[in-house]
Amino acid sequence: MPNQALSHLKVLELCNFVCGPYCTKLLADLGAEVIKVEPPGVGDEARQRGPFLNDIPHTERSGLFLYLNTNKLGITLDVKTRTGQSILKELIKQADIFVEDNLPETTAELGLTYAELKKINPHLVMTSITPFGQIGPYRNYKAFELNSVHAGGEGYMMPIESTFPTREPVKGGGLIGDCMCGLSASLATLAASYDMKATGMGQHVDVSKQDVLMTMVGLEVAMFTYSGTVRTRHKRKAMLATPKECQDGYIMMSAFGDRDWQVFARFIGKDSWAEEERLNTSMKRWENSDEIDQYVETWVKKHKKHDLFHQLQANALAEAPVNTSEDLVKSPQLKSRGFFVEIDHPKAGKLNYPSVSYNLSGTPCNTWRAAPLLGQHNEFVYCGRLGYDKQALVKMLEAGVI
Amino acid sequence: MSEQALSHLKVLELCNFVCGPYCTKLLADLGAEVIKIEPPGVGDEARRRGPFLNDFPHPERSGLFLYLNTNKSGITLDIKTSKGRDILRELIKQTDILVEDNPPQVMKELGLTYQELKKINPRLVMTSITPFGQTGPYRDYKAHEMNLHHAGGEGYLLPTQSPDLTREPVKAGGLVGDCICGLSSAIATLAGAYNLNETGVGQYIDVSKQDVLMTMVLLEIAMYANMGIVRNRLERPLLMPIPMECQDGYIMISALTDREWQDLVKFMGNPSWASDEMFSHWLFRHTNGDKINPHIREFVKPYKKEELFQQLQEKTLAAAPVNTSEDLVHSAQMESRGFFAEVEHPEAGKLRQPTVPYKFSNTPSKVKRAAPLLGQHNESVYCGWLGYSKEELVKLKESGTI
Repeated sequence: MPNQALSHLKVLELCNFVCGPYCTKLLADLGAEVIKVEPPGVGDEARQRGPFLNDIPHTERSGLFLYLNTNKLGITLDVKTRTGQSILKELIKQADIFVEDNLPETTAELGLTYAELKKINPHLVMTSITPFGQIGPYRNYKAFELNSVHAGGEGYMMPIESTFPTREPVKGGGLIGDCMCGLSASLATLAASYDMKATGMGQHVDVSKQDVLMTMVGLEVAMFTYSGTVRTRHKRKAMLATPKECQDGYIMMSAFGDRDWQVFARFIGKDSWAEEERLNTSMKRWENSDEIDQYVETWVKKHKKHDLFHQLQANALAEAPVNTSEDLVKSPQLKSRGFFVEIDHPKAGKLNYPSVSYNLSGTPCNTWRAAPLLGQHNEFVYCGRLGYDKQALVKMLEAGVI
Repeated sequence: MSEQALSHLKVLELCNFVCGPYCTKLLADLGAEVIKIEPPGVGDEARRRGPFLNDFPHPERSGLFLYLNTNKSGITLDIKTSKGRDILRELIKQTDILVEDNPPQVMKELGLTYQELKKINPRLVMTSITPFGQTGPYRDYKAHEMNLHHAGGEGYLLPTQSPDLTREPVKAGGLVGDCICGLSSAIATLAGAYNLNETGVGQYIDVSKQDVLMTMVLLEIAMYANMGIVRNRLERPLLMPIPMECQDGYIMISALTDREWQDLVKFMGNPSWASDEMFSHWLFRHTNGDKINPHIREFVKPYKKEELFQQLQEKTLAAAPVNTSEDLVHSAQMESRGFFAEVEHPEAGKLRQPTVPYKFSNTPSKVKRAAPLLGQHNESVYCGWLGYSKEELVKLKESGTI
């Protein structure tokens, strides 16, 4: 048994910033050998973005880059040059998977279309991740994460349950939109590889970020197709729809279903509510949600979020504190799961990284290598894999090809 | 070549509501044969949740259920009875993958732990999806999507760039948190299946939803883990961090690099305020965002969002309208990608549903069938797969086992 689930899979990444690198990170963390190709000199854009260690900008110390590129090998190559393109093709001949995120017109200009590449490697799985996909009128349109999230329709729903219906839509925190797209691309890539191993035939996987985000908001989109209703971020009658403020932060409570409601009502000292006929169905409780929420808001003020969390869970009620990053890093649950791993990096030193969200019993994700320095594995890949000698490597370096 | 990427994979689903069913839906949409097991009589909880077709509640007409269960077969089985569990074990013997979402305690009580199941099927890949994973002090805690979103730390960042610092945190729209967890589970499961094909050995995959959500908020968590800084939803003076209001909705524009900024200024007709030195570098523009944003707000007001989107994209500026469900369903881009497919369902009639966000060149994903009616495939699975006679089927039905 190989020591990791995807140990035998060879992946070449020609991607920038968050989404594509996140896609191949997921594969690398599961054991695939991922070679990341970066432009010589500047490297991936994520290297220019913070947070930087101790707030001092440095291309080898960007938290964003370091997180997104764990477990990968890194080489430099200028794919805009002829030589660069032909070296890339040599690498593609040896790869199972090629993940790229260029606009279709750029891919065509570089001579890197799937139609061309399958001639040199028929078992290649090529995944292209673009804002709007490979076909359709918007195929060459640009978008960053914050544009994609709104194009996909999710932003229109946020902030959900807003008491200020006039405020502008917002998007999810961080770069979550790009992470979701990376996840979807990774799943599709893995499915195609599964098929490739079974049939020996590769194929092209065309991922549209806008489509990814739409498959997540399923319901709102479905509501329009079913009934012509456009759902928005406006406040609707709903019980406990937003977090409630405790002494030391917020807690998100819920009491769905009659059992949970009765237990919850008694817990908050409202035994009568557990019995009352006017509150005995979820529809009736929704109708009276203003009264319920008002009481709960006053009641929780006397409590601390973690105390409440444990006490309510002891009553089998689904609750969770609104965790800050500090809460999470200090959480006994995450400590117990070994969620954070320490990885050493030549420039950034020892840092704590979130690992993976799944434990595979037979092939655990337990090998952690830090993100590559710019061009760190040039010699290993060009000499080791492609058979260039060291003199040729120096020449390529001098010519700015690598 | 296979008809679909995962055509040869057999999956058994013992899940409820959104997350687990979304995980197996992703596999089913890629061609896997998924059998969904529901409790007799009541079925999956999603059947009782809206949106219902024409707002008329009916367990076979829930938009949520219909979307999450396309391409699956459906059977009923009461696994709380020992007869039910015997039948489940027979099914497990014939399957590659089991996906389940019960609390660890429940699976133990039912004698359905991986330790037990691998004895009857050593090839089995078993994926368990729970709020906090199979280990750690919170392993038996309950949580709904709305609780987990906050437990995972994302809610604390939302709404991002909030001008109102005192407002409570919110969560992302729809059930996006559960969808992300389903996606991550699908990747881990597929990696397990890939490894099974190579080695013939199955394994156990433990997915924690809290962990999944944390791998998405990456930066904020990394910042605390390594520098002790807790980021929150406070407003920072950034350039265009939120959508700007047009005549008929909102648009999200970005101009991150110098090139993009210059193009945007040119597009706006080179207004004199833009030539100020404090806007000359991207870092200055970001920290002076509050001085630029009012000008841009003023500029976009007379435009319609789609028209402005098209014009900005022509200048290769990343922009996107904040799309509503209606915009998306009517989008020329979606039309061209064939993103919505019509599915015929015996109770709900013809429905238009979102399909998958990726196009495979050789093994296209298709909507083969709508979500199953409760117990629709009992006969084909129990008689066809397991060899029960029709008389036995009637007996199982009468005893309430199926």
